[in-house]
Amino acid sequence: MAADSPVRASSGGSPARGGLIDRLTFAALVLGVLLTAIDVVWTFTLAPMVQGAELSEPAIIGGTQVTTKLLLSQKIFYLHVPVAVASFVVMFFAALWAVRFLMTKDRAFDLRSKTAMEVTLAFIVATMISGDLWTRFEWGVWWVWEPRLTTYFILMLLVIGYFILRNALDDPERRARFCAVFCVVAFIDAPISFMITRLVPSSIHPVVFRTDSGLPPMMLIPFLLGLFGMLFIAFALTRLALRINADAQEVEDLKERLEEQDAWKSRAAADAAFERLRAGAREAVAADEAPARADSPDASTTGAATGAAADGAGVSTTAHAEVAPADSESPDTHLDSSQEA
Amino acid sequence: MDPILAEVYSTVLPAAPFVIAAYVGIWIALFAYVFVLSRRAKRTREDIDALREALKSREDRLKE
Amino acid sequence: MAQDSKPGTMRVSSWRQYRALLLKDLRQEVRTREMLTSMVVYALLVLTIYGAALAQVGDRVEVVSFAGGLLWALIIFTSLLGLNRSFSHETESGCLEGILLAPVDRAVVFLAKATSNLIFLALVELITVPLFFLFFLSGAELASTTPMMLLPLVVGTIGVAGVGTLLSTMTIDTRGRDVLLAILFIPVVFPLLYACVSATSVALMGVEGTFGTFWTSLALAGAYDVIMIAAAWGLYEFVVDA
Repeated sequence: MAADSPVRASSGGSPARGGLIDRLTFAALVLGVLLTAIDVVWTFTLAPMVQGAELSEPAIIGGTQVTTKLLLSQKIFYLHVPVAVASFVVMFFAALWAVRFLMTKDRAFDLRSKTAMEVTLAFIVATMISGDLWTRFEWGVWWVWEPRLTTYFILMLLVIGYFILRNALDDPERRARFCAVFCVVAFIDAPISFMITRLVPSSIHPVVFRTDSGLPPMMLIPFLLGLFGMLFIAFALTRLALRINADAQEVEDLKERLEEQDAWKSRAAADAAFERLRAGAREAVAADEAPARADSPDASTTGAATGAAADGAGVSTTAHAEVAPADSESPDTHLDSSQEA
Repeated sequence: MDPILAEVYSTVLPAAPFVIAAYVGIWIALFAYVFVLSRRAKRTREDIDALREALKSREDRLKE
Repeated sequence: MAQDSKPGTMRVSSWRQYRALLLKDLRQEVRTREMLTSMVVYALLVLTIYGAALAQVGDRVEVVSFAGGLLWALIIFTSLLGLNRSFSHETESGCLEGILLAPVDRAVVFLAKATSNLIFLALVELITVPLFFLFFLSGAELASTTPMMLLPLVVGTIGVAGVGTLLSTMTIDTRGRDVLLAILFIPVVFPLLYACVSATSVALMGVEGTFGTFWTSLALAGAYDVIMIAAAWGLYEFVVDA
């Protein structure tokens, strides 16, 4: 009855089950995996290898002149860049949902924003792993404070900071608000950070810029396949995570409400028991007072004594009566709050 | 092997472990997240069972 | 923005609220001197650590090439401490709740708090920057362009105060707020730090032909200030609106 409505309200905010979008999720996942698989196969078979350093002397191999070494390490690019792009796209949606949360105060958007941030983190870690292996091989170091690496690292720190902030706040309403604010700030900060390290050369170490522009079609096609594949996978992963997170949150809510109800019920039981005690005490006092009144006309000394005793009982009952309303108020307020919710 | 061919492919072989590791790493990262999600889903399912259990015992108590 | 839509009398009262809030912070600081003393002492300690870290370098001229970075690390760490403390007496005395109960525009609260943070940071820098020069650059020949480092200093401090005010308001009531502020603040302020270090280094080294970088960095730091303070201003109501 009254308890049902909040449940329905909260599940109404979570993504629809079994609808068109769910079937789309599955299709996107299949399509994404398929495209990425084609990308990987294409990368290692059809795509030409990039020319690296000069050979000591040019040579003729298979009728064509070869002057440079071939670079296998560039193959990382075909999946690395799509994953990085996907991380940006998902983070954009996280910020978008954060803004919508701030506008509507609908907890469903907070859940979406959080989920998108999780997916962002997964993609960022994937990008970092693959990028760092490339750095290690090409530049011979595990880490350089190069603009692209630095800014991406900052982006990762921002996303990690978001989750640390989430864990540090207990009140769900405030957590949602603060995290949405930080999500927006982080999303504004990321492009600024990219822009600044790109435009301001670090004065001490010259930066080696490597551009991979003007891709031939045999390299562009697998790259685009990978890009769309990864975007589809990101979409599917976000939807999947969203469903799981929405379920988890709903179960948490239900558990909390059940516990609350239990606490309320036990308090109501205690109040009922107390009410019975009070009624018993009132009867006892009434029984005490009746003989005292009957005595009073003839024996004044004994009457004073029983009067004092009755007074004592009266004090105790009034004390109870004072305590009782304060106590019995709480179930009422609980009732109110549950109805409001 | 022809020395010139060897030079042409000189960086290919050392790069192979890194390239493979990068491709595997990307999938490991994504699957790690999927694993976290599946664990979360499993816990949710257990919680649902616990809730159902709690509801049942409550109903039994009401009947008594 | 909020004031523009209202008649002139509201403008005056917003300004008055701003002044009242700012004066309250300043008066409190003058009375207790809690924040300034702790910040200055902390800055001195960081300088001491630099002393130990650079004890084996010897050659003074070398220090100039990364003095900008050292100076900005000092400023960031010191401002972190100050930002953490800037709301401590508010929460201890329940003062923030009092302010928020009053019909004060949230943007005014933000501006007042950011201004007081800016003033405290500037006061601390007034002491620590000369000390930094005294300790680490007294033996070095300073370039004639050294005074130009004041520009990034001003722009950077404004940005730190603006963003720091938003983030420290978010972290006041959290578990482990000192660490949390650092975790949120340092990545967010990174672009500003990068630009300011670059501009300061150019000014300190004074190499001919590098001033293009100086002005680019300064312009970017200024753009960061404008964008981030506008965002903080707009988002502040969500952070304090309990």
